[in-house]
Amino acid sequence: MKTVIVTGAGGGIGRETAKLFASKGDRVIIADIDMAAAEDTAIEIVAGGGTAIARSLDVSSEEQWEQFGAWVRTEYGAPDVLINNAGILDLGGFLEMSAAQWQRTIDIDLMSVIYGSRIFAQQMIDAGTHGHIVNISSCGAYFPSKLEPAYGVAKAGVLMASQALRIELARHKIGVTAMCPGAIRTDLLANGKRAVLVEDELQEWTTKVTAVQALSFAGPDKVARVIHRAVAHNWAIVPVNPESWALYYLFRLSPSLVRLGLSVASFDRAEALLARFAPLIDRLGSAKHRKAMQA
Amino acid sequence: MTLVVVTGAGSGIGRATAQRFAKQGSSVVVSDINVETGAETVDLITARGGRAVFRRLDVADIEDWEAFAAWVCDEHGVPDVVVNNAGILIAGGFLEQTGADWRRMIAINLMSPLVGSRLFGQRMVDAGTRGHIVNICSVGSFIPNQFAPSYSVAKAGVWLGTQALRSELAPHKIGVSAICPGLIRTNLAANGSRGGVSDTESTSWAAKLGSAHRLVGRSPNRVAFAVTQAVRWNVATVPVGIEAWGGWYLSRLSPSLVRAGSGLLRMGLADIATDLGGKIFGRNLDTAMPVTTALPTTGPVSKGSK
Repeated sequence: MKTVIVTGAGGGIGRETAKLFASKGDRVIIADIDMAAAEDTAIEIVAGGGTAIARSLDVSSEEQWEQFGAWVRTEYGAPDVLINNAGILDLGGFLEMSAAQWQRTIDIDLMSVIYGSRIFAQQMIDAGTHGHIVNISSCGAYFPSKLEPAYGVAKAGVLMASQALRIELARHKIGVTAMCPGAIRTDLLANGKRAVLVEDELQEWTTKVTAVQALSFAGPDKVARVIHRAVAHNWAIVPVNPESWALYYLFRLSPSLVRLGLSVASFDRAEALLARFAPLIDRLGSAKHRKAMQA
Repeated sequence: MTLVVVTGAGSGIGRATAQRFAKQGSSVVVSDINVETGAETVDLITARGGRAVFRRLDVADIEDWEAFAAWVCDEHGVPDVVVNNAGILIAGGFLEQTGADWRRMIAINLMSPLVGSRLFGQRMVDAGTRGHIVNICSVGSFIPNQFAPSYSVAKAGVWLGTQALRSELAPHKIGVSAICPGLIRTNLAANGSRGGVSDTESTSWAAKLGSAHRLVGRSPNRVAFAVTQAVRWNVATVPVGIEAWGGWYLSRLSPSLVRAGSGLLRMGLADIATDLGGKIFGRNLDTAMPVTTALPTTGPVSKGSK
């Protein structure tokens, strides 16, 4: 039985990925900072006849990673697949975000991948496991915008780290994949913060953007399926959604063109558009909800 | 007259850049963590009739950054040009480098230029200064490798951050450029360390690599020239040297080709190369780096000299 570790598996892409791997007969270790959410995922998997263990993990802490790594090795041996999925998206302009906010994004989105990859790649090498590491980057890695510069910086780091690791681990027959999903229907924006807003304003903004993200065309199960295929075929860089593929090629063709195109997106415009389209978003949201209820 | 701030200006690219701006008539705030080399740069500039002052700055320290930015703006006004050049090199494989190595690399090479950009960018916006921010990235921003993965990760992040900032500051008429040098004759390697080996080994390795690096690379004046041109023409990304241009285009054409190529270069090979470099060039350690003060005045940035 293969052991698969998924971080941030309490919700969204992580949860769907854990469920998919479990349904293929793998033992899944659900790591999440939100233990209740992790247990929830594990219970659902076990109820469906799969094998899952929930474990609390703050991915931004190297110490917790080391304890987690030691625990996995003693209990199950070196894992076969590690999926570094946990991440946050705090919105805010380059100048708006404080040093602490920048650091939070770097710690959770970038350093977590470094810590996790180092610890479990070493375990795979020591055990001679021909394993696989999947790091969830983002199309933000090639999306230099005013809305989420810190997220983009961290994800660009993840993309580069995944490629460097892929080169280094190739001789140990360990594969490394960077996933760049695009807009996916998850709670990423709902769980994030926007730099300059506080309390009521933040809540209002979050409700609005959450409603928009809920309309995303692709669900997290789509990403889960692509991750499963990426592990099977050892793909290197995998954009998931059409917009992510388009941006990936466009950015390689001309970074300046992409930058110029994206520079029309700003918080002022986003707010104006959100206000303008609020009725439509509400209607679409409730229509979707009704459909889900009927199904 | 313009006010220019250069970090890590005690040596290499930073010093050459400070000298070049001073020669063009700018006042330069020279900052470095090393007080002696920083003061030396100021002496070199003032001896030739330029204007420069030194202030120590540890770019890894957020509080020091904030104090530094406040000091510059209070004493000398909001700068017109900020060059975030300070950086380090930690070599060694992804797994060889410790978590502490990684954190140090990310703090100095990734966060510090972004912190400097943020602090001075905000002040330029507030003051209505139509300034320019230059972040020294590297060809490593585009090339994943096994020699210094942490360096590449940090430089890839800072390159993307620079692009995002460029789009954010464009409405304020503040230019932002990323300079991506290839191999440059500086002390970067000599001051570097290597993860996964003892301190003595790391030092001797750095000395060997440093002596080879000094002869192989091109002059930091080339980068200084690129910086002034980037400020003048507000260019987004400026590779310096033929290997940097090659890396920039090749990584866009085919990332897998770049990975395949750089996968062939392993640490063992690097050890042989540094050993050879140390043997051949090691005895010239003291004389290997002539102090060049002549600055190139013409010629395109885009062509490598070697």
